[in-house]
Amino acid sequence: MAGWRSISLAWLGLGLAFANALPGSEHGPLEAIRASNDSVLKIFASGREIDRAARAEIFEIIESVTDLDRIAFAATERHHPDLSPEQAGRLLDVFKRLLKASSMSKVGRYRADRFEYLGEEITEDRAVVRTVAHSGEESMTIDYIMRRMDGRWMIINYIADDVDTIRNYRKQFLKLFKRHSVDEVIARLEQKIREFERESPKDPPHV
Amino acid sequence: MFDRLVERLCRSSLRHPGWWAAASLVLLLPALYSARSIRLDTDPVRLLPRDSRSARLTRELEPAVGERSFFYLLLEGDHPDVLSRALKESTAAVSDMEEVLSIEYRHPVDFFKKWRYLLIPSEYLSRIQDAFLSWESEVSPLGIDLLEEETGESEAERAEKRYAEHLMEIYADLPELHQSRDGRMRGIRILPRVGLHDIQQAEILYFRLRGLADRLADKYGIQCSVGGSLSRWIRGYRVVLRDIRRSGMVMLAGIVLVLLLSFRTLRVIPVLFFPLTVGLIWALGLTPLLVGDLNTITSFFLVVSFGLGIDFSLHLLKRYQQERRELSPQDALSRAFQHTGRSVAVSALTTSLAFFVLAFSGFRGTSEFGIVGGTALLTILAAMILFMPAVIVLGERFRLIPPLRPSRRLRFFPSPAFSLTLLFLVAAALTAAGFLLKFDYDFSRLGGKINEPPLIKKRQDLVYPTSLPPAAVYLARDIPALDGMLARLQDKKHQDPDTTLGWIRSLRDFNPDPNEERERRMLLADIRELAEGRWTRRLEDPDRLRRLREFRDWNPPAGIPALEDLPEELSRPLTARNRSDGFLIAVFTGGKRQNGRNAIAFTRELYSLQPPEGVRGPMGETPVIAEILMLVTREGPWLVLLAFAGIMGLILVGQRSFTQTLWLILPLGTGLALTCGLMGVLGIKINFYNIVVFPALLGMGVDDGVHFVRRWRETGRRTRKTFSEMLPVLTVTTVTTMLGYGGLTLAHHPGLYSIGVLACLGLGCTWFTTLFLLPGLLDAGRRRRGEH
Repeated sequence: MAGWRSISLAWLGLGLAFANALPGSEHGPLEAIRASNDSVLKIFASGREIDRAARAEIFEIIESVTDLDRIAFAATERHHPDLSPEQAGRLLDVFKRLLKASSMSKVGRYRADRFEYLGEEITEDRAVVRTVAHSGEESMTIDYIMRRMDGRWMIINYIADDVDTIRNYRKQFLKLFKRHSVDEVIARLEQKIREFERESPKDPPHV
Repeated sequence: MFDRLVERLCRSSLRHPGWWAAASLVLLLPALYSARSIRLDTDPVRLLPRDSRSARLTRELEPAVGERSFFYLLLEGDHPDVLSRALKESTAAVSDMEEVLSIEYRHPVDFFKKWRYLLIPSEYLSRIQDAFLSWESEVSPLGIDLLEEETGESEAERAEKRYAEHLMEIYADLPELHQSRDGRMRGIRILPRVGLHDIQQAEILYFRLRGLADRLADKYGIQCSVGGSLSRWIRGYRVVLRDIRRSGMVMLAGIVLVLLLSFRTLRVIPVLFFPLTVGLIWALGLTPLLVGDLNTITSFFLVVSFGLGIDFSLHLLKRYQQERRELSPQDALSRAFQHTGRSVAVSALTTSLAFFVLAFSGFRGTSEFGIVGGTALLTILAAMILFMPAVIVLGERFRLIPPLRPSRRLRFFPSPAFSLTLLFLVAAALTAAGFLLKFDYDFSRLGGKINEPPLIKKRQDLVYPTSLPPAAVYLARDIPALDGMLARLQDKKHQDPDTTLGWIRSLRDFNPDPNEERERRMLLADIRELAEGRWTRRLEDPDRLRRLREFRDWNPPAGIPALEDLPEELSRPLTARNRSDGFLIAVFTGGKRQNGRNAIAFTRELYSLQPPEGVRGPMGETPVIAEILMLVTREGPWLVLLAFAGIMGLILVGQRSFTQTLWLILPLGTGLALTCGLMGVLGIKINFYNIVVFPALLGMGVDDGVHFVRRWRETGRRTRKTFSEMLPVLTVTTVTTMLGYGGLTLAHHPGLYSIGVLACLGLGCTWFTTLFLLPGLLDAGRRRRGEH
């Protein structure tokens, strides 16, 4: 993994943020991804240090284009019928915070040299954008699953090298709930958040 | 009545000392004959009450379940050819040993290769899937490993993960022979015909294996060693025997030295030792009738009783010497036995009473120690009263008894102020004890087993990474009963978040029922799908990659192995000795096996399960140890209270004065408080061995107070004179008693060592409070009453 400093979260989301944030912009999903990648490349190429403030800034933009609520809901929805509304709310809230903390921690850690855009498939308000990220001799396929909301394309899942992110979360939650109570699961997620928050400042800047 | 009896005995002994000595020798013969049959049994089941659940189930199931403990023969060398030749020779030699039931040194590789991951129970396949999901999360830019636990992972959770890893490993790359991963070590697992319940027989096999190991090492230039659970028990057994010899020798040497310092001659030894030896041999002769065999705790009763009994001879002889200064032998003898004889009798009775109170214990380690210890004190007392007068007369005749040297008047005397200060110290000790005194639930260092040397343990772990025998075993009559019990155990394990149940093994591991088979196939399909993902290219750990590929490239065959097709190596450990008796379920603990609290929780969990019809159990080492711990912790405080009440009652009857009784037991109570405080401060914990010391300490500790206060009254309440007289006597008798227990402080057996340390500490504290707290308080009381 150390050799693969591949896909930056910034590449995944930052460009989208810029693209979508432009007033009146109405890109298709692939264009949105391409524009975002170009924008992020510029940011990294500018030599700006990716410090704590930069991460926060990048993440703020990511958050604006990624439907974290939807991702958190999709990952945990199978367990909601067994939980009280208060418990389900807490679980969603803490998992969303964990997604943010994890993303913040990983911003800048994965980097690509260039992207290859294989195409997009749009079905009404849904779309899949297929890309390949290259880093030196290595490559990784990344499929963005997107949904149009209020005229903007938002990421609701990623499939990176056959790893369906939501499916992976779902399987892990299934196992967690098999062995632990909801309070224990929430406590474990809180613990993970603390771990990511501790790790973040120590990350070396990647330029 | 006592006076008249003693008077007559003394007169008769003066007239016919030879006859009395001869009579004592004749009376030794039946005792010696009976004592020949005494054996040492270190099996912990032996320590439980016969009607305890664990002991009963062990008796019922052991014939069907068979021996669970085993030996390993481990061979280590650099050349595979040499190792192969040595292995061939050793398997042939071991198979020919008549004490060996069977040996295992090959894995059923063909069977494993065919069925492979279908042999892994679904709960462990699920854990393997966990690991793969975690790896997937690690290499995914957006992945979060939710299953990884950085902190707070329970021991049970860790154990389950280890076992899943072990299963993944053995089915991925299993060699044909029992060997380490690098192939430098090979092993043979040896099941004996008799094991723990006949440790002497098992020891014979142990020595034969050791002999074979030495021969192989010489012949092939390799390292050979013998390990395994049974070897740990045999080490424990041999350590106890060695400790008995060593402690006995140390005690004898110490006592001889103390006597030399006290009497300035060794000629007096026959006079002191003869009646004591007679009493001890009588006690030894009665032991098989009273308790059968000796156990680990009672094995030391001779040494301890010698240390206690020598006090009686010392008190009697010292008093005789004192009276001989002014009286004829006849009068001195009568006076010594009438006065000091009475004190000795009271001491012996109170101490034996304290020992006999232990007989009420359900823990047979304690109750039998009480029975044999109490009996020994009574037989020693009887021998002292019957034969000591004659021995003294003969001692006088053969000039073995030196005249008493005048005692020096001591300058130091503990003033009332000094004693009051000590009283505060005692109160502080009691407070410290309340906070710091703990019970030791870790029985890893206290059991009958002694671990192998680290080198053998390391070799064993490399060849047999999961080599422990199960913590408990159930016997199921048939497959439906087996399934019923497995379902209950699995339900318990998965529904109770605090469960201590770990791996559960049975033939169903290799021959799953249709539901389990379906579950395994589903999980395997999931795992294979996971392993086919492009993400695996990014794994840097070759070991992880290898494991994933093993899963990906393996196609599960149709069907499942039939019970009849299971290889012997797999089915034998999970089947009753006689297959028609049924099938076994082996349950392992999730937490640390050596943690007593964990053992208790595990046993309670199993006991709370009602086995379905056709299933009996659990039996095993962990329920036995747990029941011992439960018994000891439940009844320990009551035994101490009962012993204290009994001693106090006995003294009260003798004294007919509550105040006098309080004076007599004051040194004992304060001495015990000091002992507990020091234990707390020094970090000495109470455990299921040394808890027997407390009631015994009550009996022994009260002696000093009895002797001091009686002599104080005899001297007309002259405290300083009594102190001067009693300081050397009580010091010598305390040191000799301490030597009896003190030998145990050199014991390698940790439980016995803890008995020795606590007894010495307690005796020292009681000696201290008798001589340095009591006199000052007696003096203060006397002054308060206006006596000068």
